[in-house]
Amino acid sequence: MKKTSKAAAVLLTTTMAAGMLAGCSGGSKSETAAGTTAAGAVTEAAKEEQKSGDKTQIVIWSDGRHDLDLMMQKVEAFNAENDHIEVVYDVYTDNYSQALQLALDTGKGPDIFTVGQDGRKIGEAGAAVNLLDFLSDEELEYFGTDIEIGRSTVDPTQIVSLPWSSSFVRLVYNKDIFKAAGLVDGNGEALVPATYADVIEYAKVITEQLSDQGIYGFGMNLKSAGSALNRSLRPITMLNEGVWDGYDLLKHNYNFDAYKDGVTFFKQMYDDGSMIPGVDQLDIDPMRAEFAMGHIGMYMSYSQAEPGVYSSQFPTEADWDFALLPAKTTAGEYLCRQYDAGGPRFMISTEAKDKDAAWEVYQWLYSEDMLKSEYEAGLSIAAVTKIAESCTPEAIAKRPLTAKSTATDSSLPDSGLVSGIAVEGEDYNSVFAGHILGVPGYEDLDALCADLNERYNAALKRGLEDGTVTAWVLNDVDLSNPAAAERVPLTVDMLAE
Amino acid sequence: MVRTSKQGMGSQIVKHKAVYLMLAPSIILTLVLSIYPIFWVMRYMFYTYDKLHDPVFIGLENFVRIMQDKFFWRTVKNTFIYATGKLIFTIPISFIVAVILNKRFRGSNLFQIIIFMPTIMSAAVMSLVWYLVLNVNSGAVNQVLKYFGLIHKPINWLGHQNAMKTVIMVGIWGAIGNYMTYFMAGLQGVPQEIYESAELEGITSLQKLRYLTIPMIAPAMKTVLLLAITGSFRDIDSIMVLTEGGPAGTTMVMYLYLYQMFFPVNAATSSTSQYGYGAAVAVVCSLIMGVITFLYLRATKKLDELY
Repeated sequence: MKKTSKAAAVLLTTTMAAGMLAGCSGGSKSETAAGTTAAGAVTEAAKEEQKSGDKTQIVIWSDGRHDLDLMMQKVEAFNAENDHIEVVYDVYTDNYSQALQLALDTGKGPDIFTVGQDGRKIGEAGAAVNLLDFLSDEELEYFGTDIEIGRSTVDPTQIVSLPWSSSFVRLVYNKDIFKAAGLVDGNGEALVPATYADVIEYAKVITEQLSDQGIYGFGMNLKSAGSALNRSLRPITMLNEGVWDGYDLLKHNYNFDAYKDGVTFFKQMYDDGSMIPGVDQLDIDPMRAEFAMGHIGMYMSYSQAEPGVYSSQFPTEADWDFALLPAKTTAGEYLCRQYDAGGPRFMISTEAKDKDAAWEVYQWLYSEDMLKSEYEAGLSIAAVTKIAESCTPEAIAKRPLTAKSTATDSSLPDSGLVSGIAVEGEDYNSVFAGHILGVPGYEDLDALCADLNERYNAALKRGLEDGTVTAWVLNDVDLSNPAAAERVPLTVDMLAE
Repeated sequence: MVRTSKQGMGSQIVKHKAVYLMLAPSIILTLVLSIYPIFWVMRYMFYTYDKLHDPVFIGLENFVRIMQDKFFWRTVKNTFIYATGKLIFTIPISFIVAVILNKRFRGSNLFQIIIFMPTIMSAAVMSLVWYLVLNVNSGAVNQVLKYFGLIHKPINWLGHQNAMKTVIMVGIWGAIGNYMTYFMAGLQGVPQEIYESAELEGITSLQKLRYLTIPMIAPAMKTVLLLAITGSFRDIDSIMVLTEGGPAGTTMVMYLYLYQMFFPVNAATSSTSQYGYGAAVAVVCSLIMGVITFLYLRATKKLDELY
């Protein structure tokens, strides 16, 4: 009996330990498939894997659920036609960035992977190959300056991804509310706010006219200062001042004085009472829900995201449209161009065993046929100018400013020109949100900007000295086309100048 | 008589292999999830490290930075405000509820389950519900208050004027059930005979509470208080969901600040991961907690002497 219980204990313990080790091992393909990928893609992948035979297998990971059907059709066609490569396309439904990071860290990553906004650093941290080693002159010419979206911030001599889908910040406005508030032109069409003063005035008029019905002029999702101001204050400051995430494109240092007009613009609306009550507790989706219900006249957000939100997440009957972000003083006059916040893009892993085969698949992914199919089906916003010019999908025809605009947009990636900056204390978005909301201790904007300049420039200098920060200067930059400027590394000596 | 073994470690393991095999999962988990992170923190607190670049040894610079980091000390102050606010309501309410429910009346079990419910619910889910209920424009709380004519203008519960009070309130709501259970366990350990004898002496209910109940459960109370204090200081789940530490840092507590050093998504601080500085902040937070625990244990020694 004693022996039996001892044996049972040993068996139980061994099973538990084995289970634990298996759980920690990072997962074989079948585990990964069963656990977290979209069922359709997995079954196919598993079947294909068994049939693969002599073909070189290239595994692609993506978090793109929206274009899964199209991609699976394309993958099947590729696998049927190609005699030496088999593509396995796995789509993850959640925790994609963490799963990808873990897989890459443990050497079990895919050959090709997509990265979204939050995963861009994965490729820049050395996990993605430099595509300039593969791109031909013809291909480089084809992409033109659009290729800048994939330039690494850590090492700008490298292109780590190619343009797939774009996203730019726009002013989103509800035409029905404008009409109800009497903000119409001679033809009875809703006026289009074009300057800071326009937005302030229209927000005030809407609130005065309609707040008794629960309708307010402007909305912000200030529960998360970063989320709110990255989609509003940051791009208008880039457009009107040439300062990007605090970094001055001309002076190549941190210059938060450039934010004063933009911050004051939002504060004015808050002080006027033109913002929907409770902006300091609104997340982006609750704010979108308010907009869908017709409670908000205007707000700022990304062109790629909002059409999908109002067609499926919060379906609305409201007649809404995009407008260009407001200019500081004169309609249509901007000092600079805004960055491209971009949709997901593909990268080739440095761990890919057969890089030539991976490159062949990559070329297929970025073929004109693939990019056009995505764009025409309304699954992407063409980031390659030649694709954008080749056709006009229905969604773009309905709201032309969903697509790239030469008036305000560039192909610079929103990861910026500075990488690895570790600032002491509160970040600028949180500070400016404090000022906009009138939080005690945040009243003096000049002092706040001076403090931010001091802290950010100290962090920049410290990081350049110890090698943890990489920063870049856009040489002889033409602010109306910043993506075309050559990049040279910023050094401590240049800061001192 | 103490038996000493001259056998080596290896032969001991072989001899008691079943025991060691059964211990193995716990030992491995402790090593991987507790011991290794401690050594990791002890190493990287002397480095600047963001994962994009190689770690750079910087000696004590992270600690110098902490001393000068005004925002960190503001989070420490916020932590004390939050923890104090939570404790001064949670403990008395939990105790009173436990005393009442310990009397066993019709429906007391149901009340107990209802009050305990927030403890078994996910803090994130619970906070999300509160987030919706407290919404300025469409939240149930404002609508009910308005319906009964108690307010004319909606209250911005999570605005900067009220955010700290609101997160404390949600914290209290989530904690009462837990501490009530601890107190009830203590109360049930008090022998009924003592109360019966005291009743024969004509003691009042209040006197019973003051001179019998509290002294009898003092050891349990000491532990409950320690758990409540450390728990309150480490509380970040509900704050993360309700306010993310905002607006403008008004509800940023030190462990949320620490969390954002490692996971700076929508952080109120730098958007770059700061593992080195985060490790140093973790050590300082632990020291602060250590000092609080030490002071508490010293103060409660008196409680032991009294009772």
